[in-house]
Parts: sequence; C-alpha cells; structure tokens
Amino acid sequence: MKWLYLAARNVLRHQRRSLMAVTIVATGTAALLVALGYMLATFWGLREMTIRGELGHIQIGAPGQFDAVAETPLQYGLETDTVQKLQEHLKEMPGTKDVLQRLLFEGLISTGNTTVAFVGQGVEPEKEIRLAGTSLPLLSGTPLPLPTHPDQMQTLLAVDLARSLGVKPGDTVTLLSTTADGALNGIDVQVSGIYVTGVPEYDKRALLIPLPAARQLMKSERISRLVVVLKDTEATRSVQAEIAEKFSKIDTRQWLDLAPFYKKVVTLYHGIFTVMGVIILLVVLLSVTNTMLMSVMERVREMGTLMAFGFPRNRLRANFGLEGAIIGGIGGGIGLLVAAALAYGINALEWMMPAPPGRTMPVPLLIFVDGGLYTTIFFVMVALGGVAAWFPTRYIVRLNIVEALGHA
Amino acid sequence: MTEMSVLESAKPPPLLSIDNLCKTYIRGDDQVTALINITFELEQGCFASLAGPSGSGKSSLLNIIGTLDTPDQGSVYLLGQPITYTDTSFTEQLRRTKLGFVFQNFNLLPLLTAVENVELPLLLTDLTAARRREKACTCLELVGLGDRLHHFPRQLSGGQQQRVAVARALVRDPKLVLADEPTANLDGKTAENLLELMRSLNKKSGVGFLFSTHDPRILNAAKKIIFLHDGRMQL
Repeated sequence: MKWLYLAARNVLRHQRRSLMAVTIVATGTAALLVALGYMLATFWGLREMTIRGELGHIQIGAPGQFDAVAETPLQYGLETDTVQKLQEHLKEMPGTKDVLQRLLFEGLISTGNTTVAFVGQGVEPEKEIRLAGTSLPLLSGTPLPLPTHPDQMQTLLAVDLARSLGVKPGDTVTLLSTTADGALNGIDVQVSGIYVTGVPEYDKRALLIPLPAARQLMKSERISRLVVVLKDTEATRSVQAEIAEKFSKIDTRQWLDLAPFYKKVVTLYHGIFTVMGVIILLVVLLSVTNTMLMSVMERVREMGTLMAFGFPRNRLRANFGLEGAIIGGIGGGIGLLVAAALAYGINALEWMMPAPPGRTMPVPLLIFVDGGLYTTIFFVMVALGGVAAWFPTRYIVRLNIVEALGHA
Repeated sequence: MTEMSVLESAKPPPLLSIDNLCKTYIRGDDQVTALINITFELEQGCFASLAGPSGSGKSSLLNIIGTLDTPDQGSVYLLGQPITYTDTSFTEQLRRTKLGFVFQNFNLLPLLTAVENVELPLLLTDLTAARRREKACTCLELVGLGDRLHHFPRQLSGGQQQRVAVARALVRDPKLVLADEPTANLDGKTAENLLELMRSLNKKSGVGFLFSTHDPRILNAAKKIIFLHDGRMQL
C-alpha cells in the first residue's frame, strides 16, 4: 500500500502530463470497447438471424441427410415413428423450447403464363412464427394457416419469387415437383402472403407451404428434418451430444455447422478488429511509455538518492511500473465509463445500419456492454501501463549511482 | 593468554578500516588516478573529515566507503567486516542498515514533505506506518524541525533542508554517516548551526560522521582529518 501511495503521488507530480497520458488511455479504452461491443452485437445479431431465420439450433435427419446426394426426394427422410420418438424425447429435455418438422422439396411454380424454379419447405406455421419472430417479416397478405384451418393449400412466397411471377396474395399458383417415388405431381395453392428472407438468393426462390400440403405434393409421410429450438444457444453442443447419444440411427448438425456464412463473417470481423485492437493498444503503450520515459529521465538524481539509501533497483523499477499501472487504471476506468455511456446512448437512438453483405434487410446498430469484456479490457490497460513503464526503466538497471547523484 | 592480548581481543573493531585502496577512472582514452594506496582507520563514534583541494579524491573515497562506487584494489572493512563490492544485495543492505548519507545538494524528494522524506528509508523495513511516522518525527525533532514536519522542501530554507537530510540519514540508526560537502551550499551562520547539530548528534548517539569538505569550520571541529592530495594521503 505504501508503494502504491508513493506511486500515486508521483503520478500527480506532473498533472498535465499524466492527464494527457490518462486521456489517451481513456480514449483508446473507449474506442476499443465500443468497437468490440459493436463486434459482439454483430455476431449476436447474425447468430440470431441465422438461427431464427432458418436453421434453429440443431437439425436432425436420417443418416446421409446432410452429406449424401439423394437419388430420389426424401431418400434420407425421417420415418414417422422415428419422428414421433424423437419429438417425445426432445419435449422431455429441459433445454428444448420447440421442435419443428420440415419437409424440403424443390420444383417448378407456375401461374400458367410464367413458370420458375423454386426451393420449398413444408412447415408447421405456428412453430415457424414462434421461431422466426420478426426475422422473416411479412410484406403483404397473411401468414400460413394453422393446422386446424380447413384450407391448408396455401403458400407464402419470397418477395422476389412473387415479383418474378407477378402474383399477389389471393392469387393461385401451381407447384410441380417430383414425389418420393420419383413420379411427377402438382398441386394448386393460393398465395396467402409475401415475405422477406433477408438473403437475396432465397428471396428469388423460396416458398413455404403447410406440412400437410407438402406431404400431399410429395406423396410421402416422411419429413426431411427435425429442427430443434433451444432456450439457450450456449447449450447447443451439450443438447446435440445428448441427442446423438440417445438415438443412433440419426444424424445431427448444429447451426454453426450449417452456417458457413456466419463463420466467414466471424473470421473476417475477428481479423479486422484484431488489427484495430493491436493499433489502439500500441498507441496506448507508446503514450504511456513516453510519459514514463520523461518521468524516468527527470528523476535520475532522485533514483540515485534512493539507491544510495539502499533501495534495490528492481524496487524502483516496480514503482515506476506501479505508476504506469495507475495511469492505465485511471485511463481504463474513465474509458469504461465513456464506452458504456456511448453504447447506451447509441442503442437508445435505434439507428439502422445498411444490410450486411449477403443480406437484404438493414440491421439495427447495437453496441453491447459486456461485463466480462469491460473487466478484461480494464485489466489489460492496467497491465499495459505497467509494461509501458518496463522499457524506460531498463535505464535504471545500468544506472551508476554516483553519476545519478550528480545528474542535473 | 597474556593480559595484553586479552585487552586487545576485548577492544571493539574499528568503525572503518581501509587498506591500500586504489581507484582509477577511465574517461575516453584518458586514465585518471583518483586514489592511490589509501590506508587508515576510524574508531567507532568518530567525527572525522577528508580534506584536500578539489580533485584530490575526497568524494571518490567517500563514494567507495559508502559502497556507491567500487575500488580497483584494496579492502574496506566496516566494523571489522569486509565489504564485498561485487555483491549488490550485500552493499544495498549495508547502505540500508549501517550507513547514512548527507549530500551537498540535500537531495530531498520535492514531492514529499519533510517527515515523508525522513520516513523514506524506513519504507524498506517491516515497521508499521505509525511506527515509521513516529521515528521520522523523533528524528526531525532531534534536528530542531519538529514544527516543520509537513512542509515541503520548497517551503524550507537551505539550512532546514539540510537538517531534514541529516534526520533522514539518521533515521535508520546507522553506524556511520557520510556527508559530502554538507555545508557547501549553506551560508556561514547556517553552516555553523548545522555543524553544531551534527557534533551534538555525534556526542549524544555515538554515530560516526565522516565528512568530505574544505570548510575550515568542519576541519576545526573534526577529531581526525585525513588529508588527500592528487589521490594520495598526506600525513
């Protein structure tokens, strides 16, 4: 405590110089925290968009569903009894929020005048709405009918697909596809609404129909995949392991395995923010080093005096280190407060950012305030301050006491 | 064992014993011989002075005795114990416990008050903060600055600053105080007062003083004077 007190007195000795160093540390800390808060918020937003907009947390299929190329549709589909068993088990698991059935198919959609290819999914509308929330906004019309609705032959078309067909809610289109047996089949469905997927490629091709309609089109009771939605994304790996352990004749994938885009964005952002972080830390390091260097050089005689009184050189170095750490700590602390204020302020303004690469919808500008991150950065700044003092104080190790005492 | 040898063995070791000390400085291509074959002894509780003109080697000798510098040749014994100059932790320990320093320019830390300056050498001890403060206050009272405890060096006169420096040198109860030109920056009256103070401290506490000076007042007061000229002792 006595050394800390002495170091604090020394920091206050040149208030203007220390203030400058503290300001640079605080600015660096705030910049780093806002940037990292933005990065974390972006990862979170993209992750939630990926999970809620399409993938769920875990997908379950028959072996071959995710890797093999099917010769006929639903070749690697899940049988009804397997689906039933899986659903019963998954409902019992405490981490599970919802289990969705999906039947994937593709084919041609026609208005009579225009025919284009589509990628379709037979879904359970109520559960899909629960999963998607606002991730798949409806531009016009109504959502797909609930299972109790007498007319299940309806479809939601992605915005660009509807545009290319020139259809609007209430119009009727024909879906043509190859059945599970390899035959050609078609059904007429009414366009209930038009939605946005957020991904340009999907917006051109995607459509959703109720599961019973999809089964009628595919002439099969199988489904392609079960989508598991969890209460907590962090539990994905453990739940996946538990499912894989319980059921042997299935294949599972977690959302991260099915989202190469997310991985690419994370890698890209990590690279960008690492470079930026290193630059900021370097600026802080050089600033505190400069302050400590000036401090060391003007206190040479003082050091000579202390060494004459038997102060070990490392003790003197440690005290300069403490001074650097104090500058780092004060600057870091102020930086935390500034960053938190900026983050809360920006979040409150609810600004929207342009759509990220590969997406069509703008995203809100969010900056996370993460306790763990803030604590870590604070201690990084304290440590950086200490390290910054280390280089200039190498001089002390070689300092001749007699020369130091005679120093002007 | 004879009566004489018993008496000799009971005799305390000299405070300082210097044997054949030599020191040469190399400055660029030049060699400057600072000390040549210096040999002398100082008894415990001495009040001694190194005298001689500028460049005679007084400060060099004082620095070597204070372990601030190293000799090229010869030995120095403090209380009968040889000083190992190559052992840094030993010399640091020696300076902490057995030696005190008073400098010509006082060398007080401007950041600290008088009492904090005196307390400084005690930071390396295990004493509590209260005990450290108590000792520092006692020393300042001893040098007549009991009413200036919380003054910063800039708020003190030269004489008062040097008194603080003396208190700082004494606070760890050293055996020998080395004072390099302690009165050089003081006016006549202040220098006399300081000298009187050091003489009384020497008498009261028995701490030895060794000055490097050409101040005739100190030389007159010194019980032993070692004259140096061109690095050699003059008898």
